[in-house]
Amino acid sequence: MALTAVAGCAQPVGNAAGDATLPITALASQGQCGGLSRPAVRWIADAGEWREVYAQINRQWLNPSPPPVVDFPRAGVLLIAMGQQSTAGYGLRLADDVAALRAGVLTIRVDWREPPPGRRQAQVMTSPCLLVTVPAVDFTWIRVVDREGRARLEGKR
Amino acid sequence: MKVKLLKYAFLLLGLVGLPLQASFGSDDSALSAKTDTAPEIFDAVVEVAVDSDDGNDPNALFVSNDTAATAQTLLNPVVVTGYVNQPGSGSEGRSRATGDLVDVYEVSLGTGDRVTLTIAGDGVQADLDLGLADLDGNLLDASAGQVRVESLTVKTAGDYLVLVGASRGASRYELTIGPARGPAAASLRLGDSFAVGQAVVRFPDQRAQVQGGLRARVHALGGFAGRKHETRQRNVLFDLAGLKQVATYRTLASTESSPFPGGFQPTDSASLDKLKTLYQVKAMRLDPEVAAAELNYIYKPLFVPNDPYYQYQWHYPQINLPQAWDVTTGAGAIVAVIDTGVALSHPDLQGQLVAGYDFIKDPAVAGDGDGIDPNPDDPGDRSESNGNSSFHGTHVTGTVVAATNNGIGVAGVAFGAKVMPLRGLGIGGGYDYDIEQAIRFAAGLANDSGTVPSRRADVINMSIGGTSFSSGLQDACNQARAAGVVIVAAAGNDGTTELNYPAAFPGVIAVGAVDINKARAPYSNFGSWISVVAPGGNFAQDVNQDGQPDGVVSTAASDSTGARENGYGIAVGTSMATPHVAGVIALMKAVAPSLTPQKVADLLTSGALTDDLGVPGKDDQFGYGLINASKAVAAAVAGGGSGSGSFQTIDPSLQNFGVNVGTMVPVQ
Repeated sequence: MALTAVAGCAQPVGNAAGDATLPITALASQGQCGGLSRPAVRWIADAGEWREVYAQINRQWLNPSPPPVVDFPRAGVLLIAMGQQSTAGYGLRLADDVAALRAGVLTIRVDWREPPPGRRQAQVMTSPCLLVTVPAVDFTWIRVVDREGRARLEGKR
Repeated sequence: MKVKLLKYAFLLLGLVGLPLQASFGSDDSALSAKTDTAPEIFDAVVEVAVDSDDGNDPNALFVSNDTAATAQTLLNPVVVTGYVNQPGSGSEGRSRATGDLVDVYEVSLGTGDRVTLTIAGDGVQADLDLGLADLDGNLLDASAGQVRVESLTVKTAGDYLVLVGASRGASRYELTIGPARGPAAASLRLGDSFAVGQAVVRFPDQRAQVQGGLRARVHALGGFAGRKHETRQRNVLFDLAGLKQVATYRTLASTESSPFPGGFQPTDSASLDKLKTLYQVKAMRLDPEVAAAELNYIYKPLFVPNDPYYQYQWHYPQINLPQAWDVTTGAGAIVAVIDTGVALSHPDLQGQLVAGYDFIKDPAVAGDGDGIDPNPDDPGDRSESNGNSSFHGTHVTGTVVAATNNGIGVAGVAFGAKVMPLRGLGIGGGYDYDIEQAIRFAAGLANDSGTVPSRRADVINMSIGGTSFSSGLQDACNQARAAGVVIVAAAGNDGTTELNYPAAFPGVIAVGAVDINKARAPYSNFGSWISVVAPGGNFAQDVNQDGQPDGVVSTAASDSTGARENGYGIAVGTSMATPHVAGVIALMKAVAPSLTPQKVADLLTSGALTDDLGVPGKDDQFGYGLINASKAVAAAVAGGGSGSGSFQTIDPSLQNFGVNVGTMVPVQ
């Protein structure tokens, strides 16, 4: 399954899954995710795909640790990638420990961190990402918003 | 009683004029650096002297300088003119009949100094040899070819005897002592690595062998076996023990004494055997039966570290680092890394650091619970508990000094040097004021810690930046530079020409990045303000197919599991390019501690430290080019690169033989 990256305000399609509030857990927040150059969201539904994606986002390590265990198929993993940045100081963090599911759209709130102005930054290329475990429910669209409610990333499941 | 005389002459009517002072001003530098206050070594006055027993001049004062005990004392730098001859050789004069086999001079020499002998004769019929001995007269090295210019470069500072000997015939000479400039003259040298008792010989194609001659001996020993059908002569490896059976060589091959003029010889038998091999090969070159004779030189493979991840560090061979390691690994140099701090527990950085400091004032930025303190350990710069800190300073530091050839991890550029870890970046980045204090501390200047290091840094590495200009930060850089510290900074990763500071300050070496193909990395800033490029990598490539992204491999750490864990990682950016340059300058400082920031800048602008990329000359994409560690170290050893000054010499062939045409004025 290819990475999908759609930023903007396109409307989701698909079957409504009913309103719900889902408990979610941050697996990891990484400042460097294998050089993922484009912003993206990706749903990872099985262990094989999880191993592949985890290896890709950790290829900056010469001795990477094995992927955390995820309870597939009862849960899945959502990869949220900020895309390539020109310095350190960028990052993603879960702003809530729940996600909203409405009309087939899974909405996750994050802290979309950027370097504060007025400071010098490390001149290293970064590609921050956030890995979140989510119960495996039906949805067709993923939306990532920041604390102010701005849509930062959207994508098809 | 040892007689020491200092004789200095201010020359010499009707002959070539001499410089009473050699000065080397620097060209305008694109770095627009402040003038250094430290005196340049090239500003020294060059003394002139004459051989005190010049037997070719009957009117000259005659004071013997033929032995270690009667060595003539010289200053450094100096130009000496003299004359030596074999008995019965040369023009009429005091020494023609008895000979003046050797002139012996006593002088203090520094590391990297060069002793150069320029011979007025042809170097073959009038063959003079150059030697370096200890004060007891034990021969340490010799340059004894059949050339007009012999030279020796000093590896260890000390007091020495310099020997000029007449190997054959007679000749006037000029002896120049001072900092090395340019490569050494090619010759036969005792200090080179070659096989004892062997020669590589080639005979002319169409010539009958002389009965009892060398060619016949080689034939008798089976040297041409299997070559009966070959129409062209090629090299033969000859065991020099066979020379004893050749009449013309019998005396030379059988003698136990040293063949160096005056009998000066090494203390150990192995070196004496090497010396005999050298002179036997030299004698073969005079043999009309021989087309070419050479020593059988021994070539060693370049040093390859045993660190398991060295195989992924493509960025080191790209800058000719292994060749530089043959000369130096940076011992004695200190590089201050102003960054997030260092994971002090990292196994591949043990023993590679000197004391540092944490200059982050705001505890919320420092992340270690307090303001400035003497602990530069990196607690991490993540702003969320389940986040992942960059440990950026650990990666940068590893590129400079990771312990090398220790069987673990990675290699570092200047692994013989030390890093002074200074924290100026924390959670959310770094404030200029904190970074200024770190710069001042590194340079040994007053700062908010109330302390200075026991020894200041030689280089400051700042893989940090921002687009805001700060006069305070610039002032700190200027003061550090004036204190003798070379400053290197990252050009930035926006892929634009926008100025990034501190890299864009005048006097700071601004480093851009190239990928594994030596193309400008797509993220690397560029423009007229870029000084140099170095490997920064590109995550999107695996050109060398080693299974790893083509980024810079170094020491790393992670706190994604909560606790900090040490490891090794790949990173990309001008942050990664910069410590390559800092490390190379540390290598330079190790072989030339007196190198000033201005001198480094001059060498850079002259092209002595880099391989030109892109359009010829300096350009916006690559500055002065890709840093070349081997070239840079060689330039540092040479001590001056292509400076704008000139070191004038007397051409001894213009001097009169046997008649005093000038007035020599002895100096008190």
